[in-house]
Amino acid sequence: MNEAMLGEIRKFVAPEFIFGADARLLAGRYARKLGGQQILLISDPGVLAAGWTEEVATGLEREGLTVTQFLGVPPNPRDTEVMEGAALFRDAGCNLIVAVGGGSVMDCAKGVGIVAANRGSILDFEGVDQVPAPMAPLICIPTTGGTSADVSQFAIITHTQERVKIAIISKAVVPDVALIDPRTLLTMDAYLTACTGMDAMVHAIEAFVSNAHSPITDLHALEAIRLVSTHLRASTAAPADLELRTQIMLASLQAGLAFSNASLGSVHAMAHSLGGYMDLAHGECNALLLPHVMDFNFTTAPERYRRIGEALGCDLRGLNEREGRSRILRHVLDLRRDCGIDEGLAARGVRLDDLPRLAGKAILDPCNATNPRPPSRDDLRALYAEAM
Amino acid sequence: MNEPQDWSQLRDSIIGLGTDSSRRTYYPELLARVAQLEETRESLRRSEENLLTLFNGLNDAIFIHDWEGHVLEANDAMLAMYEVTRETFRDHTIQDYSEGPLTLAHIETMRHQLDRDGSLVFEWQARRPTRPEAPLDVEVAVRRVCWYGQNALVSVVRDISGRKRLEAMLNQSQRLDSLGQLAGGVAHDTNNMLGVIIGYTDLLLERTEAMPNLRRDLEQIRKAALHSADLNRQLLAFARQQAIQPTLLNLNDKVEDTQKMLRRLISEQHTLAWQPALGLWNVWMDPSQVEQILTNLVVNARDALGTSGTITVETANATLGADANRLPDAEPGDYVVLRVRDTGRGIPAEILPHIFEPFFTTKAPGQGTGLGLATVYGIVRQNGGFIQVATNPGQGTTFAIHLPRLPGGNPAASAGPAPGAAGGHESVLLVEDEEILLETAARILEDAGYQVTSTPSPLEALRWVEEGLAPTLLATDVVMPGLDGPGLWEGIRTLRPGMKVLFLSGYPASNLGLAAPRLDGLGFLQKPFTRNELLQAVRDALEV
Ligand SMILES: Nc1ncnc2c1ncn2[C@@H]1O[C@H](COP(=O)(O)OP(=O)(O)O)[C@@H](O)[C@H]1O
Ligand SMILES: [Fe+2]
Ligand SMILES: [Mg+2]
Repeated sequence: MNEAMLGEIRKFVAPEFIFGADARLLAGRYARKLGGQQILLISDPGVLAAGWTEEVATGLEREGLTVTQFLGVPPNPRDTEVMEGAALFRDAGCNLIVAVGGGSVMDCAKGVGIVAANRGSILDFEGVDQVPAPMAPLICIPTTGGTSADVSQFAIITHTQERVKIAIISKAVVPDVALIDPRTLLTMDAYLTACTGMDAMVHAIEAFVSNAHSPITDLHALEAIRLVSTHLRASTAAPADLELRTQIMLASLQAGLAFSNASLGSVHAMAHSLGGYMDLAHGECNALLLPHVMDFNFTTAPERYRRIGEALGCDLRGLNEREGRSRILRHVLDLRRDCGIDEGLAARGVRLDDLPRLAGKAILDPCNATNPRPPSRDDLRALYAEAM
Repeated sequence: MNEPQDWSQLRDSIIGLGTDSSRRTYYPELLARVAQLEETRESLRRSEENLLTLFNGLNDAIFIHDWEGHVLEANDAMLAMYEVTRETFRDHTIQDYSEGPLTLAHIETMRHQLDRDGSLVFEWQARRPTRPEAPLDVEVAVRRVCWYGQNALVSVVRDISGRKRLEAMLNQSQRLDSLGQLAGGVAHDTNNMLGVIIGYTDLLLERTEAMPNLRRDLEQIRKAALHSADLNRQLLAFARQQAIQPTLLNLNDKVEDTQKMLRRLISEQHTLAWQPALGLWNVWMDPSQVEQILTNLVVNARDALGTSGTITVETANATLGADANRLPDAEPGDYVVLRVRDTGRGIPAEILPHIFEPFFTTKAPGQGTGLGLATVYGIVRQNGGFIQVATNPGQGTTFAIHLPRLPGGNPAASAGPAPGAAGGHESVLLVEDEEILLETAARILEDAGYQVTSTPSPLEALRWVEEGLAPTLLATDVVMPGLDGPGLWEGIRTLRPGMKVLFLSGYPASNLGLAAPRLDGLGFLQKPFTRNELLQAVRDALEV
């Protein structure tokens, strides 16, 4: 599957993005340029408390734009919040959305845009290419270093009744502009830094081994793996270090570009099911599941995992495939533990009884489609069990 | 179990290779809007086209103009009405299109009324810039309009000259009607007096055979009285109160009969052409009235001709449809037309409305009475017809007399000529409220040998009969105070079933509720009458 990919016709989608300290301050200018007048500013209480929301709102108003704020987004955005936001968008006569926050806020913003433009329920748009009408312009200002919703074609929303996260995958949800400002990461605590950093790592690894990887996505994936591996430990230890924050933000961006175009794998399929059920942080779920899925996939793409290992900084010289495999997994486990993510699913309240259900939901997730080794439901159940 | 089957298709979609995987932007949305705009513009264009068709399809002229009178837009009807073109209509202002001056005061009033009522309608005279000598009567309706952002006015102009003409004609026939009533009333009253004069003159003439001088004077009195009676008859004809004896008549025969007489009326330089139509329908009419019509029209034509020219008399059949109502007095139906055409000087427009009025004449005193056309008019109207006049100054005039066609078969022919006047010995009960006429008639009848019982009171007459009086004939006036003639007759007839009757009246029989001309042997005599006429009528009545 490797170099044969070169023959395949490919597409690479990325929004216009501005990367660098204080990029967030350009929100007003871009909103105006995109034709915005009535702006729906979506954020959450944590980001508001950190001060980023007000700063962006002020910037928008200084450009003569009217701002309506929607701040009720919880850590895992649910269909109900999306519908609420869409109603607000219409009632206030908005024509542009600015999202300031992590993956939850940006996914919610995408959901609001879809429903505002297409009507119906957000659940109607689940799956791939199910969004008919383009949505109002969307500007994303990420405040966490990992989700990369600001550059991706993914929106993950929790289905309240089914207690599962649904994936909406469509070019229609790629934002119009991403203002990627490492300074916004300065207000993250150590654990959040770890979780989101590990999310970026998972994005990069899954994109690299994806059966839909391509030379361009490979480039970004490997660079993201290298950056996270090199700087995440230090960044969790020194949250105020802007240079480290910048490295992690860059890693997140590169991982985002990679997975948005190569897609993900079973780690995300299982994390979506788990996160929807337990209301756990997305990055945390990923971090807990990653080593087990890597182990499961390894034999299908050993050469790819070897290159991941090298990017992680493992010295694999003289090691055979089996030895290399354990060295790499060890490295990932170490990194996870060093950043403060310890223990397994059981410690987070998951019971053995839950596993069939989790697996049953996870197997339906489209992320499985690009996993290098197509899993069965039982495979996923076994993987959950290993992660307990 | 429920695992997605086709992972590879899903994979292709996710990485953007699915058919619906291209990123949509607002661009197609914009294109759709542009297409929608185009569509809206197209439907606007079509709707404007329709409105333009309506605008130009109207018969009324429409001006869009500003308060200064500059014309901004006009429809096809305006171009036609004002005889301008699409290229030139803006060269003139509203002032140029108006006959009278448009004063500031006028404009102020308009502004005020428009503010108050929103619209305003008035009659006006329109002027055609190329033909200012012939203004048009129009009705103008004005409203405010915002014409491409400019405060303007829309004036809808309707040509009402046709309506005006009809109104004038209606006024004329109403005027003639009231004149007729007046003339008829006057003629009526003088009739009785003329009867007295003529009656006594006749009596005197009977007795003055030996005195030629006195006789000559009496003849003069009698001539003058007869002349007055003749004028009276013309007035009564105009008033449609001429006593008539209509009969089935073919105008061709009648005109043929009058040829000799008509020729005598005109001079040798004038030609009289006679063009009868073949298969001419019949009319129901008094032949003497046809003569009156012909005489008057031909005399007038002669007077209009000057030294030479032609007078043509012709007949024709004509059927008028619903549009007959456009002519005054006309109704749809079949008509026999009698036309008298001359090549004379024509009738000037300003006197045309007056020619049918009695005593209207343009001729020197003694040459015209002004009663000719009035007589013709009265006769034609009395017979349910109408007159059309076509005249062209300098070229000639045509009077077209339309008489209703006699419908159905041939009614009974009228009575033959009256036999010579004779007297008798029968008893006559004479009733006449005008005492002087009563006396005259009584004297004439007594002189002729009749036994006359006379009274001015119909009630007294009735009482006498109730008390045993049994005359052979009742000769009575028709209109009397207390009891009218027919009423008296009713009363007497029940008592004396075999009795005869003769009505004497200034009104035609048809005006009295008696079927014309005689019914069930009822005698009728039109006043004023000569001695002979009275004696003849009495004899006729007795011998029925
Ligand atoms: N054929 C005609 N041509 C020109 N004018 C005429 C003609 N017939 C009648 N008129 C005009 O109508 C007027 C009235 O006619 P009429 O009533 O017969 O009276 P009179 O002939 O006594 O004047 C005439 O004086 C004349 O001016
Ligand atoms: Fe993720
Ligand atoms: Mg005359």
